[in-house]
Amino acid sequence: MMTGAAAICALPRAARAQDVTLRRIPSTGAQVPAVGLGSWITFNVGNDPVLLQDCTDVIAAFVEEGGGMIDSSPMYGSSQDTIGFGLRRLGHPETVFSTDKVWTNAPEDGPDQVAETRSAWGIERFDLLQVHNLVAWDAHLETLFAMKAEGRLGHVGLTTSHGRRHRLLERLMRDYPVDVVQLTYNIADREAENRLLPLAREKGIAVIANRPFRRGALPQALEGRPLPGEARELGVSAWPQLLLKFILSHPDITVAIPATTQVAHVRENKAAARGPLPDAAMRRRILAHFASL
Amino acid sequence: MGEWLSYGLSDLLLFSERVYWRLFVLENAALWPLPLVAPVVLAGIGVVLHARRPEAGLPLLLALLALAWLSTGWSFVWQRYATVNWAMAYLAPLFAGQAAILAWLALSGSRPPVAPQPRWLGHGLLLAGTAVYPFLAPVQGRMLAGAEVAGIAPDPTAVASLGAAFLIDGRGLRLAVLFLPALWLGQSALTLYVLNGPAALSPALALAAALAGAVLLPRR
Ligand SMILES: NC(=O)c1ccc[n+]([C@@H]2O[C@H](COP(=O)([O-])OP(=O)(O)OC[C@H]3O[C@@H](n4cnc5c(N)ncnc54)[C@H](OP(=O)(O)O)[C@@H]3O)[C@@H](O)[C@H]2O)c1
Repeated sequence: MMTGAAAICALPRAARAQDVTLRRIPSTGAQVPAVGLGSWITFNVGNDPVLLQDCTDVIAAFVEEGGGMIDSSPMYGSSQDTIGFGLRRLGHPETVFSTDKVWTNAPEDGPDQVAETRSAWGIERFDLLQVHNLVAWDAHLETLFAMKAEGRLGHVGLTTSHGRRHRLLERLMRDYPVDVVQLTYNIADREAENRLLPLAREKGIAVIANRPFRRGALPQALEGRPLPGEARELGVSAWPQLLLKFILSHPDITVAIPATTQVAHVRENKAAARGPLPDAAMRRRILAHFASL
Repeated sequence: MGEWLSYGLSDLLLFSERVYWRLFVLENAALWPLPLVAPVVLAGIGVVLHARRPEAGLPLLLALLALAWLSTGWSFVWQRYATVNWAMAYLAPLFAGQAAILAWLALSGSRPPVAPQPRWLGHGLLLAGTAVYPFLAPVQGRMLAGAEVAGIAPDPTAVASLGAAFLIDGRGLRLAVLFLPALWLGQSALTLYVLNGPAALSPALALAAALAGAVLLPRR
């Protein structure tokens, strides 16, 4: 697994200098590819050998395209096992930034759950562990900060989604030295722009955008709808890539983590980080076009 | 609580339709040729034997259904479905509960009282669970290999059990047999509604027929 600064050290110097697809986590300086991979629903395939192989193919394509954050949670059914299966098959690629969560109401169960998660992935140490949906956040933050201090964890994070619990998240971002927060941000859900993203910038906290496609609803609704004129300038011919470029062009968003079951979609999503991203004026025009549809 | 209410049904389902239907393909393949035998035996005992010799047919049918709930709960719900839906780990024990109720009725010294005529609702639901359900797969555009089969898959087993409930006389006994299958079909209809929409019709219709029967049919 990619560990903090080791992630960037693994890349050739020339690539490091130019690679616009890499993003920096301010608190540690670790660099991660801008497009990661979610695993909610898509990787929950139980022990179905055919679907396990399909997921492995998705992970393999993700790694081929530069790797980065793979995000999971104990809440996601068998997704952690699926990731572990894929990573073992692929010989634990160096470029995966292992990202998972603690999700239990019982504070005392946190450490055991982390141990189970580690064993599901088949790794010794996570690059990032987050408190899922801020559940039992005080106890879990204590556990995670202690792990980080002992060198058993790269980064500590907090997650929320669907715009929930933003007030609490804001308070925790002010009061605790978290490295990363994960929240919902996409062209249709932009509430985080008001307070959380400016705060993240002020505090040097990296931001992961979850639900970049509103769980697939956005590409589905926009299919066949005209792209804005900006798409051509950005070298984009389909909505999913434009949606990702929009997210990644926000100066305070570090990484977006679309989930997919399809190799073609992984490649398409990874490609969105390459080439130009919209500037502030283009973002406004894209938004206006989206609102007009 | 307020936060939970803000979740839509689809936010609470953690697996996809593709994964759900694949469960039946894998289960049928693992238990082959049982998926062929189980519904034939259940339909044969349930309808043919019961129609001819109701007093002997009913305990046999209930005993077979008890076996079906036990094996479906263990093999499908616990071992397979729970791998993609952790909530199933909590529902699987209910299958053992339903098996116990059916076994008690079938094997207890006094024979379960047979419902008086008309028994068309009981026989109809039994046939729907055993003979009609497997063919929903091709009708819905899936392979027959992934058919939901009574005795192997929970929904048709529950539908057939609703049928058996209507072959029993006595409101209390009937409701005891109806309750868990109805509960299961209710959650199944909700799940399928979120996954696919139209596929929810089959469990929902069976459930509606049973509820209507429970209310409208003459009871003693
Ligand atoms: N509270 C939390 O911590 C929290 C909450 C929500 C999400 N998350 C994380 O964020 C990740 C992403 O969110 P999400 O999974 O809810 O939804 P999402 O990434 O917004 O959408 C996933 C859906 O988009 C489709 N898709 C992906 N790439 C596509 C493309 N190029 N073109 C068209 N469709 C495409 C996928 O379908 P195909 O399979 O057909 O590609 C999939 O159904 C999650 O997997 C999870 O890791 C965390």
